[in-house]
Amino acid sequence: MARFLRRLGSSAVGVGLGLAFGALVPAHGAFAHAHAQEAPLRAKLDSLRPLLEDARAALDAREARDIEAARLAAAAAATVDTFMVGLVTVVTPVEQAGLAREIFQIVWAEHFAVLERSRALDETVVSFQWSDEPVPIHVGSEDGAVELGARARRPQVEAAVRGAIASIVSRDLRRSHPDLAAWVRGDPLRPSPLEDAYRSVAATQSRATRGCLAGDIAACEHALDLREELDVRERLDAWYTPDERRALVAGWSDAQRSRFVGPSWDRCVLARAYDVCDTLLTEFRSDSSPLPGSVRETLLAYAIERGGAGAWERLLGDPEAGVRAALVEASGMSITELLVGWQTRLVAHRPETFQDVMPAGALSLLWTLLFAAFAMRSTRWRFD
Amino acid sequence: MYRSMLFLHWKQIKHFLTLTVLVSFALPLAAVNGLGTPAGSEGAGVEPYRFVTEFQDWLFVFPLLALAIGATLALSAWNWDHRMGHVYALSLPITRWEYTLQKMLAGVTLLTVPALALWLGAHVATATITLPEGLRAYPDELAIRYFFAILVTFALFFAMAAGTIRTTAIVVGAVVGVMFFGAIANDLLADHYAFFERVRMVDAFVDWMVNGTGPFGVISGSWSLIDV
Repeated sequence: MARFLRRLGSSAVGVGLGLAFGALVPAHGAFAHAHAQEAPLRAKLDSLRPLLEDARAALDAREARDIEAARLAAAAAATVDTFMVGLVTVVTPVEQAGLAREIFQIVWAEHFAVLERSRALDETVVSFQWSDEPVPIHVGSEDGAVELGARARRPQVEAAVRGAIASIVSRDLRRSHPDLAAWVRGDPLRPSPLEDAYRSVAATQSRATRGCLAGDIAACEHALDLREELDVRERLDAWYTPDERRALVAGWSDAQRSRFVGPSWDRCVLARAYDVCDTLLTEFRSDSSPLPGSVRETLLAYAIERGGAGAWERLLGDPEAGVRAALVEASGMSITELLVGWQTRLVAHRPETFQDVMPAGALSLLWTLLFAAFAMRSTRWRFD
Repeated sequence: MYRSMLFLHWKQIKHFLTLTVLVSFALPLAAVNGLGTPAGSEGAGVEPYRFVTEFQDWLFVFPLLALAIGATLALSAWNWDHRMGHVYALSLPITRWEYTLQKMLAGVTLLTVPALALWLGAHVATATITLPEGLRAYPDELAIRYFFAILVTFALFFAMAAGTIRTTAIVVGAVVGVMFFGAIANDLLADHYAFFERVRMVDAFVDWMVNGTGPFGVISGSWSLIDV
């Protein structure tokens, strides 16, 4: 049938091309006559077009049905196992079930044990395959599929499992507490490493971040944008000195400058009109807060960790609560206690950039001695 | 004896060494060029993020230069001996291991020169800019890493070149062969042994060489002159 439809399609195209070619071939003198004949031919050609389109659609549908049938047949032939670890339902080829269970148990115990309930996890089945020849398992959700080739290493696999679960659980956050999700802009159950967060804080040009690193908890509160009661201008003032605000505007790209501001940019940057800088920042930037979501993730993760069992449910318990209130509720601590603990931990994770240089240097010295010994024992020539 | 070795090696390598000294000195200056504002000027040091991110572009050059210097110094140390059929060494009233040691010490002396040049250049580079609050310069640490990277590369190539060219070719060929054919062998073994499905021998070897206790561990760390 498919072949017949394909032939029909080809024939229709052939007829069309033939008619079109035939219409073009007549000599110049006969052009008017040919032109007169063209209309009925074109009408004929047009009348074939729906037939051609129908044939193509039928062919596409047939191919899709064949693929789906093959997929279903393969799925029926594949033996899969389904089990639960924590709140996660996992489906995996039966020969990988033991390994998958072990990996999910480790990841769950290490990162998600505080979860007692999750609507998103209840709704989702996670498929797991660590193989170069995955079998077709369809779970109906993209973030519920963990598929890695056999070359992937165990830490990569565990990271992928953690990422999949965190991504699913984040749906709870977006659904139950959109304001908090918009504030954190990431997966609090898979936060960035604290070393990276430290680097972000230290490399940000902001009086609030500098104060925060120096131990000023009020500055941390500002830097993390937790003072929801302040208006935009007050926040800008808490985040940046006037010169820093001017530097922010000065750093805008040429496209941003030409698109928005021209003379105002000049007044802010060149004439140092700081009120103009503030106007530009408030009107043309939706968010001028100094720290990225990756730093906020670490605070939220810390709050959940300190809150222990039930912290996630408490965090999402009151959708009307502000970010501060949600953090306090989840952690069971005052906002000051929470920030003091987080700041202490952050500072303790300052990356030791060259911490390894002396041990690595000593090791390379040992290797040098070993290579020297090899060189001296070579028997290229000797005369003693 | 050591002084003659040093002089001979210097004669062999003086043009290359002069060039690497200049490059080693200039590299940190080039890396900080355009970052921040000159020390003491208005608005100095207000772009910490740029310092950290833009310096990343230069990071690969430092270890590459160290590898090139180490390998060239080592091969040039034996070049003269191989060309003259080791006649000079045979004419000396010393054992081979003493001769090799003297030659190696002369090479190590020479390789400290580009390391010192980088140390000086890094100090000059950091003195020309005002670092934003929260960032620090690591000129000493960078120079130490640079020195050890040159040293271990020098030692490896020196040991290989101490034998015959044939030996060097065999060792290098074996390493390249393992890297190239090891993956294929791993795949073939994986068809029969489940262990090889999960363990990639070549990857594990490379990982050990640069991240574990292998000889190139010193190269895999940070090369940032400026960081938090």
